[in-house]
Amino acid sequence: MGLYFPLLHSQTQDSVQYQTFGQEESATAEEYKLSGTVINANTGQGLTGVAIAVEAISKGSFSKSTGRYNLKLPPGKHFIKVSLFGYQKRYFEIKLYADGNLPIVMVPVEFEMDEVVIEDESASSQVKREIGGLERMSVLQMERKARLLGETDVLRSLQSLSGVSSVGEGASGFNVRGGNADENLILQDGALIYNPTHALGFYSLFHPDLLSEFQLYKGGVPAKYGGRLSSVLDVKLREGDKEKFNTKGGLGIASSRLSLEGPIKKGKSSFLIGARASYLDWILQSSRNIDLKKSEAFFYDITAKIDAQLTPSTFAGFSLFTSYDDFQFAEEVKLDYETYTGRAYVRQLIGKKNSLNLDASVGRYVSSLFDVQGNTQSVFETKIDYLRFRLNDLISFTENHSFTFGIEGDYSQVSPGTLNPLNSESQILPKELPIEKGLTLSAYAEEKFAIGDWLNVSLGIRYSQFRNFGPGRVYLYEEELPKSSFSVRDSLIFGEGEEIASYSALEPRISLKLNMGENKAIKMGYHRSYQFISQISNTASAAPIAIWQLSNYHIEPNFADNYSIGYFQEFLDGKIESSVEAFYRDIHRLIEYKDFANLLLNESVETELLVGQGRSYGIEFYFNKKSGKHQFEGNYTYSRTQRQVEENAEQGGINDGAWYPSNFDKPHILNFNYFYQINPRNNISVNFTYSTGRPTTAPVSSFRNSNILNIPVYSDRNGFRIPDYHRLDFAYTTSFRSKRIKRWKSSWTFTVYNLYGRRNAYSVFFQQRPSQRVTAFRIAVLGTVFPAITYNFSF
Amino acid sequence: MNLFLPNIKKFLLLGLGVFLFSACIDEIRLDIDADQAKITVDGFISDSLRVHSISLSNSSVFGVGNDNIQPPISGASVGIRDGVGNFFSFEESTEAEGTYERLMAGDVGQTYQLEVSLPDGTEIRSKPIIMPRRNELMGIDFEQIERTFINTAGNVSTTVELIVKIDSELDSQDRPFFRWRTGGQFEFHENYPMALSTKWCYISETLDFNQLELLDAREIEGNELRKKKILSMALDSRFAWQYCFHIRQFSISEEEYTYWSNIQEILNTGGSLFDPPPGTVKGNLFNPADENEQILGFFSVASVSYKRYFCNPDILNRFIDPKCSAIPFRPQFPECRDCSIVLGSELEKPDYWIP
Repeated sequence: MGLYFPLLHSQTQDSVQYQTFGQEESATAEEYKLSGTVINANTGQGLTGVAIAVEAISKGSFSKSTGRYNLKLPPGKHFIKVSLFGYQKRYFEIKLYADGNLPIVMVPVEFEMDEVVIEDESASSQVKREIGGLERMSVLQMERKARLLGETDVLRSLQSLSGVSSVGEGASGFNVRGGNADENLILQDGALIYNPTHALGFYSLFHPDLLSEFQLYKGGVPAKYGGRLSSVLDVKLREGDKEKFNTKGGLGIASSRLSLEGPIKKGKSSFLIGARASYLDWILQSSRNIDLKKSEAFFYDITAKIDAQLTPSTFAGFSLFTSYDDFQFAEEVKLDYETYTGRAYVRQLIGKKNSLNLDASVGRYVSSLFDVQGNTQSVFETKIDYLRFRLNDLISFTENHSFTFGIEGDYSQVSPGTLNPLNSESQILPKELPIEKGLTLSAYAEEKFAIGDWLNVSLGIRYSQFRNFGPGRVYLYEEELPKSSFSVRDSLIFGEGEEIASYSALEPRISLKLNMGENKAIKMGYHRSYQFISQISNTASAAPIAIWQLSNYHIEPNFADNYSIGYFQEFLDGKIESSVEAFYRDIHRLIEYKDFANLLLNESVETELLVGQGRSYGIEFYFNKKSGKHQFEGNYTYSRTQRQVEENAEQGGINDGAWYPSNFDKPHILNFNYFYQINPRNNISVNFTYSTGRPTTAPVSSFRNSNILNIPVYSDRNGFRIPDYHRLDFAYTTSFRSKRIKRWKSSWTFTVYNLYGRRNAYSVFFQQRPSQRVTAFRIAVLGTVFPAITYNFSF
Repeated sequence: MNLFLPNIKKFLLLGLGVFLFSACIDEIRLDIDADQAKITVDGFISDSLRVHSISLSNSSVFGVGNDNIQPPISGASVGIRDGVGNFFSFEESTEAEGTYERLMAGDVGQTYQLEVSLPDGTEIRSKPIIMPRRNELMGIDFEQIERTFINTAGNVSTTVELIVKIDSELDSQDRPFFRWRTGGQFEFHENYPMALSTKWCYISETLDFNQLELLDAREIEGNELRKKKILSMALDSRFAWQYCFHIRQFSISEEEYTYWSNIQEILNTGGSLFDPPPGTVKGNLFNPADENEQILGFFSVASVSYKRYFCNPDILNRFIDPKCSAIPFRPQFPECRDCSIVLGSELEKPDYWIP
């Protein structure tokens, strides 16, 4: 302990530190070992991927996931450069005449892109990472990605990564390697987020100025994460500056943002607070449609965080987050949705090798749909509340050997729907579906070790026990008959706390990394994952009011087996990296829906569900020239994602039980990014994206019934595709420093979204004109060039 | 929860509206394969004594012949059997091929089943359906809403929309399922500059083509339905003299309500991200020899409450400009010289017309 923290405030970040190990006279060996742990100055946590380089003799090493590093050097004087993207560089001059221990403390920095040519350093090196399918992206990298109306956006940036796609423009959520949007575990600073979007999917919930980076686990998922089939998106908030006060903000044409940070007790604790708000109404006002003129569209979010170092070995903090979206269409219908989260943590360092972490978070997601006209004025509301805790212990035995174990609890309470009249004139009958409660208790352990220099192994296991408990009523159905109101044979009543259903899950996690020299590696991974809560939605992209459904008596948890293998290689001392990675996912007990499923306010929603299976497979190619003035990044993914629902006595099938493409099956996806740092103050970025059109279902004939002409009869599900999607975006940023106010820095960003005005199809609909064939029409929402300008400032 | 479906659409429209200045619609080509024609039945009986009809045809297949024409099925044997074994045979109309007719009235509470034998030997049956109890229409109410819009010349223009609302009784025992149909008839006065003689016409029109008005009264509180909106239409020159609404309120079975709700969902489908996948609407008809064969359409058994309601400038308390004028330089329309050329026009005043 003492080894870490006496250095904390004595180390000056910009200056060179001197250290001597042993006596020159006694040095007899050809090499000595320099080792230590690299930690974050604010949290005390070990840092992964820190480059410790002795450039003069071309020797170096990277810190492991525990922060440990190990470097063999000849005796003598060495100049060591320590760097990690997002942290101030450290410099040491050491005299090494014996094995030595050099702890290193890294201080996070606020990125200032006008100052330097940013090079994406080892932290994001694919070869160095111990598991495959892990993507990391900093705010700086996000700023190089596509920006709608000039907004830096996590979800839009995410979609430029290989294996990540979305159903379409404005979809709420994203799809990773063929998984549903609800199969992604989304965390912001450790707190669970159920709906990561603002503005019905056009923006993400995350305030860009408060983020340090995000990590997306799409392949090997560590054992500490569970509860979702597809991926983990871990969005990390940065900590406030413990030394000085800073303000940062931006003014855009659709929204503005502001953040403040600074010390509470200098060097010991800090705060960070930020807010964003939209003003989309002016866009509605510019519409020629009177209904839209009378409409409203508004969102905001507020994030606050406090971090403190309580003792030299104890760190603690908490964060709060709230977001609100409000939409009203004319004087007819109104939609609100809100997210609240709160999270607290304590981190205790025990000796040099052990760290104990306790996290607790609470959250709520609530959505309300208002009918504000006529005799049906009413509000429909769904809600989910949760309480989570996690206790985990990380023991680092050696640089290459660590062990993590922990326990986790997740209590969820879902209100699937209430309907209430808005006033006395409304004739709507109040209705409330019973609240559902579920508790998941999990324990996990993971061991990471190396076998020689050639193999890194990570073995993990996670065991979860899920209980759905009362009060509640369960309908029992005749066997061998489809579940419906006509096949109910009995019902079971459960009292408060009584167990309705219980499921257990054992989830093995294995990752192997075969090192083929310094710059090449083969990585393999397998993990099984279970999901005990799913979003019940039969639309291509779930609407904000879609309900979350806990596993229960009738709905068993779905699970997936995920396999991946990849080859990773760096060229030119890591300036260029490339990879090719293949994956296969088997999804069991996949939920599908009957035609015209009635999913809202349905007490026996199981009667509307079908159970099938899914599979997705693909291959991802990646290339990145990540340093220099000209930087290129590109990826191409070929993948398929398919569903199968077989017909049996208890349910009808889909497409006669054959495999069919899911709503987000896009076989070909290509992304390309070019970044040019013209000079320290000006840069340009260009993004191109292409993807195959998503599947859709088209009519093949029609009939007339009563006064309804041309009732369409549809083809097999998803038998056709909408046109392919492609788009080119451009951004130019120029930065300034105020001569009058020393700390004032600002930049203007000009962005053009959809540079060549491609009319990409948001939706396709069909019409039959008199005496003509049925014709397909597409609606292009962002079907023109979208220029925008954003002013950013900090002081 | 069909109450909310149209509303969900609206807020999604709003989402699009935020980006409306960039939105555009254009035609695209999709290679759609032709399907097989399917047998279609459009049948209806009610508790009112009238000529009921059942139409048989094949569905129109895209890309085969004229896509809009449903080839009628002639020469079939068509009848309805009730729950006590009576069989009501229908005869093919001499005026409309494939349409089979009979004067009859059903009884509330009785079960009816359609039986059809096609010329090729195919048998079609409907599931037995009980005729629901009638719920009487009790009143009507009109609401006028002024709507402004920007016309093609870029100027702000105003129209008045007439909202038609009805009151109805609700069975307290069996909560009813409703479907409404609305038609209209209006008085039309010829007039033109230098007119020597003019006549009046009474023009009938269907107001609800491709529109469905449905209600599941289980979601409604009390024994009375109040101010349920069933129609909105432009308040224009048709109301200059006298307009008569013909409103039919059908009390239908739950199965029929579900059928029309599903069709309503299909008609609302815009193919957007927030649309459920379109499905096959299953009716209550089947082929007993091959229950997997899809028979399109529905055999409807409903009780009906029918009312006529008049509406005129006095009731609306508003002057409405007639379409025809003797003033020169105002737009002149052919029907202002001869109103009998308008489809649905009659010269004889209906006996129920208010003088």
